[in-house]
Amino acid sequence: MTAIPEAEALRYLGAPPDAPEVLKSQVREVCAMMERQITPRSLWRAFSCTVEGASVSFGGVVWESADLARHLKGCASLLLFAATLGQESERMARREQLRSMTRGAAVHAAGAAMIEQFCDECQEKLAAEYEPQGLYLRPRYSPGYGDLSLGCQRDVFRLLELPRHLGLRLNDDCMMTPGKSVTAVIGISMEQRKSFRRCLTCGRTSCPFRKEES
Amino acid sequence: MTPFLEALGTRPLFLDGAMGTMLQSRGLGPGALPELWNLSHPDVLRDIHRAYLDAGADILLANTFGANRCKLGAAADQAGALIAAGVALAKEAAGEHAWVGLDVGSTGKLLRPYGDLSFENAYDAFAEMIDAGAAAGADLIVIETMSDLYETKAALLAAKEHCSLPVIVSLTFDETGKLLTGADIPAAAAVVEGLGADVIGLNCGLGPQQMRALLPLLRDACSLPVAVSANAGLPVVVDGRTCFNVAPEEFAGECRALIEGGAVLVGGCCGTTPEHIAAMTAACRMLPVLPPEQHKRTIAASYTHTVELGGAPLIIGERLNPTGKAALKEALRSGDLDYLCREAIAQADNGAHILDVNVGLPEIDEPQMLCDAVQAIQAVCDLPLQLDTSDPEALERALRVYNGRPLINSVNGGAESMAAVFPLAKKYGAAVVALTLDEHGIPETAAGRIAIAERILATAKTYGLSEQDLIVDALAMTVSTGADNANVALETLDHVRHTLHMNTVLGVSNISFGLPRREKLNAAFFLLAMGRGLSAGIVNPGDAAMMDAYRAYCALTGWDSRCQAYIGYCSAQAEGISSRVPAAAALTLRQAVLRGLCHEAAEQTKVMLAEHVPLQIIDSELIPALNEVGAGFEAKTVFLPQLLMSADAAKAAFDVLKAHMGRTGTAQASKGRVLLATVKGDVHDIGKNIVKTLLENYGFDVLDLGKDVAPEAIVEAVTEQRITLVGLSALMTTTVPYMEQTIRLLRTAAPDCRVMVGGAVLTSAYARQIGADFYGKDAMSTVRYAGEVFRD
Repeated sequence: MTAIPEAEALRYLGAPPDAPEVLKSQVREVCAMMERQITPRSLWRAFSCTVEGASVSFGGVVWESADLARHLKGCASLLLFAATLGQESERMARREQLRSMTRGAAVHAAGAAMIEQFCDECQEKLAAEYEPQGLYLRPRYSPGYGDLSLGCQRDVFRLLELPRHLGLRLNDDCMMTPGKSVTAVIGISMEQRKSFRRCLTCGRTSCPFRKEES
Repeated sequence: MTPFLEALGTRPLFLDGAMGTMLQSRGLGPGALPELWNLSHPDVLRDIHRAYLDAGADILLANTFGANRCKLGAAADQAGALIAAGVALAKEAAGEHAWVGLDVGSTGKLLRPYGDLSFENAYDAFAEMIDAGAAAGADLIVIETMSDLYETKAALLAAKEHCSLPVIVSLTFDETGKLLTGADIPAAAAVVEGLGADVIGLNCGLGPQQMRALLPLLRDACSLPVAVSANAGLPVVVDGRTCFNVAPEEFAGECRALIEGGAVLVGGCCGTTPEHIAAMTAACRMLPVLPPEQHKRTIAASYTHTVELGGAPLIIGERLNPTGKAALKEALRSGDLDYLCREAIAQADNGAHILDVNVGLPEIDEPQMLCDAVQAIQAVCDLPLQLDTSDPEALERALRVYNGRPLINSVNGGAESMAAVFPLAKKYGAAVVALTLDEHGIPETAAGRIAIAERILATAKTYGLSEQDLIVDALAMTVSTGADNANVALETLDHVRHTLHMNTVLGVSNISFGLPRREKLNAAFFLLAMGRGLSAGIVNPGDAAMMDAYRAYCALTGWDSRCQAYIGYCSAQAEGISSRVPAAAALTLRQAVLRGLCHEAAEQTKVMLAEHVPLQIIDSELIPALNEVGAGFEAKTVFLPQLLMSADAAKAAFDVLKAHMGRTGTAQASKGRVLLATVKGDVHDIGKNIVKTLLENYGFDVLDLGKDVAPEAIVEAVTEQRITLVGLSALMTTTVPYMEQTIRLLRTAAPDCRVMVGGAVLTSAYARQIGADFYGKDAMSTVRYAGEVFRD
């Protein structure tokens, strides 16, 4: 079971630091319901990769992206990773919105916190598998970040067979269903860096969700 | 050669092994369409089929798995030719030694309401395949690797309606026995068996060991022969390539165990080769096969789970029926499906097991409305539904689009009714509520009603139905007009349950019609009926007296292990009371809204209605409270979730006012009609929904077109309904162009219509650039703008 960090859920919801107890208890209730009813799933595959200039190639695809190339500099392989909260999360969002807007918004916020937490947990497990081999994981990097085109989702879907394995679908505009899903590239290198969970490697320094702790 | 169905069950039958694995080893590139090779590389297909035939396979699957118009994309118009070629190649190899199966896989698309493919379009895509496959001479249809129960239903229905060939339906479960879309094994089996498949199967996703664990569950869930095609173990990924590590001999041993466990067909899926199949057929050929288990159960299934009648009594929620419910009538007339969904959710929360759905009103298009209602309710509620209509067209259309295996309410002893309902019940596998009345009316005696039940059963049998497909309604008639009415109903249901061995149902509350304090009589009658053999009561799950009686009955009669349900029921009630803020009476309505307390806001509104008219309450309490919260939000002293909580509390108050106005025949004038939509391509709708809630609170009428809405659909709604203000939402930069396109079309088609836009990536400059009249930076600003627009 993935425990949803309540503080994160409140933050995604846009709650003030001193959120009233009536709000916190609603969010707590929603988190407990989601933890009970949702089983997140994930999938990954390792590929050897080549990073040259502003392009990254692996698994028969070439992605043009200076930002991703910078992010993967020094990586000889990568993990193509996907995770989702599944269709139940979509149903729940609809259902709770019919109960009240607050609960509907809380499901979205808690869902965002849950999928991030789940991805972190997956990545921690993967990191623990690679570390004994002297290999270290970079932070997740998703299509749509920086100059990496959202269109790369099509390659991710094909290479991981996501409709078949995770029940994910991609529409013509590269939006995923269920919405609470993540696809990402995780670089693997021999160079040990700071923990992958930190925000410090991201260029968006004005992001309200940026965590500055080291 | 012997027809497939004659051989089925007489000896182990063998399916072939993987096709994709073989094609890849012969050079099919990743992401290429395997079916194109039927025309471009026929020799490779001949080789593969021949190898599987030589390995001992009885069934060769044509290379047609993805040959549907959704998956073929640009090659969609070749589907027929690819299927004809694929079947011909398999037949050429099979000769008189094997049957050829038309292989039917998923469309790869997600069906509505979560995806964009309609059930009907999915059906059409499968029907094209079936037509082509049957014309090409396939011996059977093999629908396989299905992980969505709804899509499976579309494919199976297409197979049954477009050919008369035997059908195998094989599903892909995870290790816990769930489909990706959430159905458990009993639910999936109920649907597949109900729709008339000849064989049910498991394939892909798992290795033979994991399949072995699921096999008993599948056998226990239905009476069909079972097929199993496992992968050659669980996938192991090496440098981006998937490998399967179970070797042929080990695989063969596992298949042996599968046959001993009751599988009558075995084969291989991903990673298996002709070597696996050869080892398997050698090891298993001489094994005896077990017959399928024979179950007689009365079952209703949703897309996640089943409910079985005949064990603990069940609650069928009766609230989705417009008779005597003004608010539901109004919701049906105005197409307010959200109202129906809320009723469904409330009944589920209150402990219903099944929901009756009746949308019959003289002035509406019942077939369309029943379909819409079923789909809307199923999008938010996972209880099985009981389709309640006397219109055969409405019934059949709803039976088609329902995701799962529903109940039908109802048939009666009249010849016309039985002739209309039984063929549908048989075709869709739905159990039917049988009313013990006929053309001559309702018999006054139990003997008369029992005679009708017996006649209904006899007629049902001529349609291939049996005892478990009927649920007899003994008919509760009010005791106010006949002292013996309760006794007659009880005697009838006792006999039907214990002598005729059929399940029973009653619309319990009819017993008290015309009498005071009906809940007392209803609860007492409900207890009596359960004691005499009532399988399910059609009741209001929100009626505390009814549910008290129900929980107590189950606890007292051993249906509630260690009284857990009873204890849970009692503690939930206690929690509901204690969680309310104490001294709520001390809060004014305005304070309740400011603090976001829904229950208190509703209660305070009721108190105020004793002395004030609704408009006074709105103007003096609700609007000032909303304004105060709104101003705080704009000044950044109130945060979004608090704004939402206040909006919810205000809505709770408005609901009380609306109900009151409905009773007194007054109405609140709308401040204006606003159309909202999330633009094409975009699936994020939380922002739009927040705006909707606030606009409604401020008295605007909102027409919500939903998300991923095409520009043309927005323009059509605007011109048809003469909308003067449109709100468009988009979260992603990639979908803003659709916003711009929508605005451009609106300028031509409806020049007087104003457009406000909002969404994470928009700015006022960007909004101007795409031609919008107004940029709503948050929900409050759109409310203010709407106020200005309609003041002009």
